[in-house]
Amino acid sequence: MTDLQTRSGGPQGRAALRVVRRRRGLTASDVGVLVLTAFVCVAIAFPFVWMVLTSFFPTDELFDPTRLFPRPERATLANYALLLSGSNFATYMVNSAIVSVGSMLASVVISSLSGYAFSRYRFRGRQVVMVAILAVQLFPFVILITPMYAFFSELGLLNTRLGLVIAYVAISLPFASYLMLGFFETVPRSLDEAARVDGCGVIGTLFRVVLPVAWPGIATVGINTFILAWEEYLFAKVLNTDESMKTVQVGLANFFGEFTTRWDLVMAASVLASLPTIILFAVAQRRLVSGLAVGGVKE
Amino acid sequence: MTLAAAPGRSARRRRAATPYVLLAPTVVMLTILFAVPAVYNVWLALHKVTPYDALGEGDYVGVANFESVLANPLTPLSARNTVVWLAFATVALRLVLGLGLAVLLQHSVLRRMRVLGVARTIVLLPWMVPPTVAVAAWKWLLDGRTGLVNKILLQTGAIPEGIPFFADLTWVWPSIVAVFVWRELPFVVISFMAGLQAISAEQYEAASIDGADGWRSFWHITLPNLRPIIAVIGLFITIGAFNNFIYVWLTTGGGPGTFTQVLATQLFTTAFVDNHLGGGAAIGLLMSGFMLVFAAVYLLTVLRRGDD
Amino acid sequence: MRRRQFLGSLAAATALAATGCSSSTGTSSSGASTGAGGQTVKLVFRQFDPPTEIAGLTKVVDSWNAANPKIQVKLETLAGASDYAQQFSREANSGSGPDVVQLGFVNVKDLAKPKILLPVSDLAKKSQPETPVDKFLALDMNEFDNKTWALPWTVDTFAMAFNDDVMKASGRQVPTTWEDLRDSAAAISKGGKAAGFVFAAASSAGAGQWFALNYYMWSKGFALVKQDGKAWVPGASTDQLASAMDYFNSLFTSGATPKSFQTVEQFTDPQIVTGVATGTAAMALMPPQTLRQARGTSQKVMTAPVPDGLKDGSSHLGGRSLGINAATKNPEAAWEFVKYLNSAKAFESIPQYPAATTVLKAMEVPAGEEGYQKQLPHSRSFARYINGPVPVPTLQKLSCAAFGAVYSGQKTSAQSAKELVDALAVALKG
Repeated sequence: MTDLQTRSGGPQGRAALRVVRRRRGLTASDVGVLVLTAFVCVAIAFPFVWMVLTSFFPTDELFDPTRLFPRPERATLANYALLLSGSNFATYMVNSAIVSVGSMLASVVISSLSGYAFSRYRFRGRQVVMVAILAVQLFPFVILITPMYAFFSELGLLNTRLGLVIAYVAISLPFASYLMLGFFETVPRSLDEAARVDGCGVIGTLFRVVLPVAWPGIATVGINTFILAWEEYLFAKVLNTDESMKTVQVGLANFFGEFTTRWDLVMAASVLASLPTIILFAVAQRRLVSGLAVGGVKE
Repeated sequence: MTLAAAPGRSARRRRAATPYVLLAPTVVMLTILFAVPAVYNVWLALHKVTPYDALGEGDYVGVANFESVLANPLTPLSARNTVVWLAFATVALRLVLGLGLAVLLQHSVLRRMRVLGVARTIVLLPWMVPPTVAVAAWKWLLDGRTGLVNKILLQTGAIPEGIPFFADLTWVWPSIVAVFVWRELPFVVISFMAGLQAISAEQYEAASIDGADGWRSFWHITLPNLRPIIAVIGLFITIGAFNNFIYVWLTTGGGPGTFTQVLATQLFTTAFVDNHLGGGAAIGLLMSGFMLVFAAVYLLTVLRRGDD
Repeated sequence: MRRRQFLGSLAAATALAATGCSSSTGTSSSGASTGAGGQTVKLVFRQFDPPTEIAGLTKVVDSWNAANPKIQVKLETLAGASDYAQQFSREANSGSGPDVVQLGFVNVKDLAKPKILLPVSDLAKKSQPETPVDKFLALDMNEFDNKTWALPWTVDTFAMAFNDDVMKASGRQVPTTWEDLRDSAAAISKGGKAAGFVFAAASSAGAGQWFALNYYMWSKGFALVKQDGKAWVPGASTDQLASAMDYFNSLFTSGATPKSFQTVEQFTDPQIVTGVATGTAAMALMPPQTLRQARGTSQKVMTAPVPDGLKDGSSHLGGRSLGINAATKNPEAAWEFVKYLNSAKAFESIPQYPAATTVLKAMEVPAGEEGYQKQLPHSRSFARYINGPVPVPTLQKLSCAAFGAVYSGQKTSAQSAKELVDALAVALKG
């Protein structure tokens, strides 16, 4: 946990680090770790880097069998221009963003309630409900889509963003509930009792006292749900057929279907479709990871 | 405790109701979206019905759908592929690599050299790439004609003709597993990292005073401490991999021939290509049943021991 | 589809265009009566062709909307959705969905059985389209239970598309038999500049090789399934199927087709379309709209009939129909719109071959499309499969996997052919 202090310790911490490094130097195993890490990072990043790189080149440059890497002077934004002008990609992105953020918020709130119930209460049926929640994961989605469509149709939720939010929250709930349960377990119960003594109700205790301490849980559940909602394809395709309500994944699938191995265009679309999650992660990363560290301080 | 006791009976009753109230939104949503359709799934499995029929229409056929699934010569192959390649290979690889990467990223030298943030971001990068995109990126990399891997192999003269990685018996499963693991590994890494953070530094210090080297302390401290999280993550990713459809479907569609058919693709084609919803539902039920048994055994052995 | 005098066809087209105009004025008046009380009727028309190919159709819908203020049509695109028919049935069964829907010929029967389409033969009793309903091509694919459930709209077939420069450089003629195709293609591939013949040889359920496989089998006198009296039976012996598998496998072993095409799923794949256009591939089978895309890149792409394509029934007559949702609130207005889409006037802007014979006869065949013109009269619809108990997508799934198993070496041709016959027999039993 000294790491945590140095991380958040600002300039002093950084100065201290510099001292430490100078004093210790690098051992052989340190160098080994650095080399291994570098190798792993290159290996993992490569498919992604190649995707981004090739999205900026015309197809003939990429398909040239005599050339491994495209020439920098042939770089162009034409793929992106074609993509954004020729389709409703911008609309899809907005829809996906609304649906994903909505699902993220709702999932955090609802899974907090259930996770808290599992963590703090011993009640009749607890085991059964916990197993049942896990069990719904066991059904392959594809086969359930027909009755779900009929149901959403009854409720007037077709071609709405709300319909997708409901579906995604439900999909995220089993895992999110278990995660929140795990994170609440790391929060000392004494905190709850103190809050009760101060006159907080159950909801007050949960949202004002316990949740703020369980940041890593919120970040993990939130990001997980966002990614799930951003990537989901089956429900989005079946429930929302109106052009103004389609999501990125549906647009992407159509695009892939149309351009299959026009790799330049496909890669440009891929980059655009990955961007929001990358941005979200870049923003939330500090919180997520430092939150994880805080979660570790418990007890 | 005193708080609950003081106001008497009605408060106690209210307190007893609290967990149910807290659980209500979750239970209601899951019931409506999954439990009800799942019951319908059972109904489907006992009827002959096409995807074009209205809800509730179909002829009762008893267990004929199950019989035809079990009699299908494709089923044993799909089942074996599902278990060996999806539920075992991708899971084992992810657990081992995930643990290795989490431990690697935990090493103090990365922090000292201020490369931890970069390394962590790169390791988690594939998680931010939608599976459809991950498949596209890998198909492009491994393209039989214009893919970079084949271009390199061809230019170095290692091979006379490009290898169609996703249509070659030797390479097709390793290729699918590579895409799968590449995209799904980060989640395992991040979960293990969280678990590692929770191990107190004192435990390691005590061990190093006792003269334990890195490997020993990994074996005696890291692994036992991570055991519960490994158990939970292991269960979730095994179920996910067992039911997974998208990686095989988008890379090979079950080919070459029927070589990479898995249960989920067989379910999909039975239901929506052969127009036989009941047959698909029967496969789905068999899959669920299998996973249910697996999960029960798993919970009773692995999880319980880690829990208490 | 006989060769016509240019002048004669021009005259015919003008005449038809004139009737087209008069019929469209008739339409707007009947539209007004449909929307009784001055209400504007709103229709949704769903199509599934990729957005890049529908400029002409968009224009046609726009001009309808301009001419018919009382019946406004919204064009909805559900591109890339291979299961559009199932999506439509989900909607129609729930009382929602588009009013007018474009359908592949092979899907009409699936939607006719649960009666979620309005039979157009009933609507036609009240008012016939410009071309009477019984004068449409491919009606056999749209009939069920003595009714016509969707109106055929466009027709197509696959012709042999080739890059004229590459063929000339190779000194070879466009092949007229399948054996000739393999030998020529192998020779061209040996030259090293272009792949001789390319096709979507993936094993997946919807792989594009389906068409080539059937053309080959049909030209050799067998098929996957056939009707034997009242019963349906496998249409080929194990030996026949094995010989077909050996033939397609020999395309790879002889070098006629690069192995990498075993991962290509769609016949519209850029490696095929752009390949033939830019000359990295010499020959490929293409339907008209794909050919037009290739010709958009290079005018060097020409067409000829497929091998043995001038033999009757050696190629397929495919196409699209227009169906009306049984749940629509405005059947008359929808029918008016369907009639309009089948008019000669509409086909001035829709870049397809019309299924309405009178409109088709009047049409000028675009340059480079001579192959279709010669072949279409000999093409036969998939009715030979669709009337049987096994869905066409199932036949496609089984055969693409069975052939792919041979290319990859998963199975020998004898083994794979036997398993295919067995699987067909099981599927036929239901």
